[in-house]
Amino acid sequence: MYQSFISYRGGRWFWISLVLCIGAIGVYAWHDLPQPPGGGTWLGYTLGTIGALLILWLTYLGRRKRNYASKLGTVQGWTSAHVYLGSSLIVIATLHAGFQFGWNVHTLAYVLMLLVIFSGFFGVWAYLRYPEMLSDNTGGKTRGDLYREVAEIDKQIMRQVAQLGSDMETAVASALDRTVVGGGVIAQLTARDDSQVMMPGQGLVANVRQKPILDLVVEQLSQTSHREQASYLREASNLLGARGRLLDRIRRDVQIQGLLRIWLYFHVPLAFACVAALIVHVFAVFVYW
Amino acid sequence: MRILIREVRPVAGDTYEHIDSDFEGDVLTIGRATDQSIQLQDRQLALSHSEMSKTGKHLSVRAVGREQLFVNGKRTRASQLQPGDEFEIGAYRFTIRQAPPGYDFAITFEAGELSAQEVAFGSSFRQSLEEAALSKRKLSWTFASLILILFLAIPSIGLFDHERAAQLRATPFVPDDSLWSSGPMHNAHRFIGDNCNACHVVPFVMVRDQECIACHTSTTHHVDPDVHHMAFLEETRCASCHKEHKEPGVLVRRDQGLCGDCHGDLMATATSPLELYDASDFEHHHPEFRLSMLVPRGTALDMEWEVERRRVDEPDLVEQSNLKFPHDVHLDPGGIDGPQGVVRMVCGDCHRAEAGGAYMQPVTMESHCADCHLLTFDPGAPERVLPHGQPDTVVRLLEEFYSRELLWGEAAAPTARSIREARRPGQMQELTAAERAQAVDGARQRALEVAETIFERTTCAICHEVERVDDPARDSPWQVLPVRLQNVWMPKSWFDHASHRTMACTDCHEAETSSSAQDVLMPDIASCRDCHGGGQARNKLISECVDCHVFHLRDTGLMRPDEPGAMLRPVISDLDEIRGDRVYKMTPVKRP
Repeated sequence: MYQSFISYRGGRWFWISLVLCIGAIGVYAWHDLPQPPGGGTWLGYTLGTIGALLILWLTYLGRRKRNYASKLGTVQGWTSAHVYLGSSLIVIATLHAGFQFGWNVHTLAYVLMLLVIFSGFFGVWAYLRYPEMLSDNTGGKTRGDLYREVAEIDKQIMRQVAQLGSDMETAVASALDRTVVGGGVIAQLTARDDSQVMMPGQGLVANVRQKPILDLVVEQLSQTSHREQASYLREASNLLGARGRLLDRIRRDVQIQGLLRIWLYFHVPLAFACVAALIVHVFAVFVYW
Repeated sequence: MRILIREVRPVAGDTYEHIDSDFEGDVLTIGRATDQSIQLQDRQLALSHSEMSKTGKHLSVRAVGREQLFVNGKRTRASQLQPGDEFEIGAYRFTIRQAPPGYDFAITFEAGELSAQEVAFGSSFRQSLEEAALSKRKLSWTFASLILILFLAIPSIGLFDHERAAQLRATPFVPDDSLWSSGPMHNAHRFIGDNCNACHVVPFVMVRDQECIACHTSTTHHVDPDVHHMAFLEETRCASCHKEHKEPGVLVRRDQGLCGDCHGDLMATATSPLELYDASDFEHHHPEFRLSMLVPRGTALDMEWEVERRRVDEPDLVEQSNLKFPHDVHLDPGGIDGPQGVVRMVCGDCHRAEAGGAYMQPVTMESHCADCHLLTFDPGAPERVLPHGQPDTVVRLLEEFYSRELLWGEAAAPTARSIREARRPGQMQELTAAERAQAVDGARQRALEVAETIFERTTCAICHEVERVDDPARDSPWQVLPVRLQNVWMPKSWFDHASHRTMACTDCHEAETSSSAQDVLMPDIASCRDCHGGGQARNKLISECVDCHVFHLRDTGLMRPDEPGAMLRPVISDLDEIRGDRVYKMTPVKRP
């Protein structure tokens, strides 16, 4: 049976992290210090060491997941531990700081760590939500399958419009050629349609969701009295509609795939920024001891 | 210009179809992007590759940016074209044709030998974030490098060169070591500004005592290391207790552990037996108060005071001030007879707080007693008073007074007939030697009679212990025993009368029922504990060790920078000078 990393082995890492957090909070509340709490007390050093080792280990997941196999558990187990222990860092690091914050490298490391963790939360949410949406959208087909369908429809469309005179043929062919899926980051994530069409007498115009070219075909259909031509036009408009819906699904596929991964472009670079800030933090603490 | 563009597409086998389109404009663009006049489906190509325009009567082509063209098989960046010329862009081949009527130019183009995959629909789209020029690796390196350079490398420039560090701090928008600060400095240290190196001198070495003592020159030690050698105290740094960069800024340790860690069980850490008792909490683990009692030693003429530490609850505890003073008589609610009538006295008539409010101003005869305790000696001369505190002068003054009385007849009493009065009027001549001797003897006799009364029964004896001394060198055969009133009873602790102002004096000092100056009116620890609890008190004032005691004791030596824990020299602060002998230096005594 499929088991998500969230409930891996009965949420083992959830309980371990919970015990870690409650333990840290308990000791923090219980310990009686001769000075305001902070990284410089014995508890501060202890929590700081735990936190730093956690951060390094959590960052190592990026290396671990590239290995096909490891003696130290499955990638799924590692991911589960990564998520839960990573979340526990919020508590560990906050107590380590003793709620002292300021405009300095120490708080910089803390803020970067929080950004990494919260971008990770988005990742968890994305991994729980998007895979199902992906298969719902494509009906289990691959993107290649969908493109092959588009190509097949394109061939049929061209066959229809070849009978409709040069202007119409050129316009439809340009609509097919100048169809765009994806593009830049924003275009991918918003499923933006950057398609264009070379309209007769108008030059290049936007062809969002293939509507302008479809309008042209339908307009032509309403004006023609030629029965055979009307049948070609009707077929072409049906095919263009089907093509538009297929392209929508492909764009949605690109969008979901993008959303499923975009958080990593924050999570990973911020994690390395956080490790760098952690190095600066430790250096700064001990250089001016 | 108007151009006929014809795309030649293979359909099946050797058949081709033509797709014609018109272009009207000044610049015809060719590239992979959809906004190009001619869009080429080749993902190897640039989004914008070449531009065609009219130069003179001819069509010319020019590569955009760093792209390149092959015109008639030769690599070039720009070229003028004639009908029949060919050029290649990626896998596409363009041919210039003779323009048909109505057109300025005509071009045909077709895809060359591209693999089916390369020209397949969709293959040129950017459909993943990697293709959209995002790179986790590049971003990671950029972020991490930026942080290491800005917050580590640049501030480190000044690490071994404090002048350079100061330059960095003075330069705006340049990161410096102030970014390493873990929190704001305590208000008392703010003047140091962002000069980290004022305290942090050697990298990776904890702040040394000598940096603290450079300013805190008068800080005294906790113990005299010559008497108590304590390795623990010598290893402790100033910053072990005084923590900077904390929020809230607290420089002084107030926790009970500061004292209790050692004083909770002194014998465990002390190297020699001490005249000290274990204490770790005011409410639950604290010995009864001990007073530094002044004890007179010697004779009336040569008296010194020694300090004796006594428990406040010892039954035979008496104050030996050599003064007679019944508090109860003076505080009688019905009043006390004074020269101007009945006087109702309160504590504050004599006991006034010092400027700081902590201790009491000394009580003196002149300021506090003399209004009622007149030093008159002769009912016939009530305006004449004796000087206070000088028995010899008193006797001499009495002799002079009665000599004058005898000689000039100034005596008020009818019994005292002067020699002058006995003479006949007009006979103002020199006294004979016999007469003079008679006058001196008479005056001396009279003075001693009065002095005996004053010293032994009335004026002096009311308040003082007086002894007869046999010393021919002195005018006075009486000696008043010197008086030393206790002023600081508990010099080892700190008490502030000002903060107890809401209470009545008699709440702590049982003066109203005290009939003797020997009574010790100091409260015991139980009476303090009515209000004051220990460090963990719930329903009492939390009173920690440092509320009454200090770590840096004033009667030890200075902390010395180069040799932590060693004595430099005894310190007398300005405060000690003002208080004079009221701070008694204690010599530690070994406990039996």
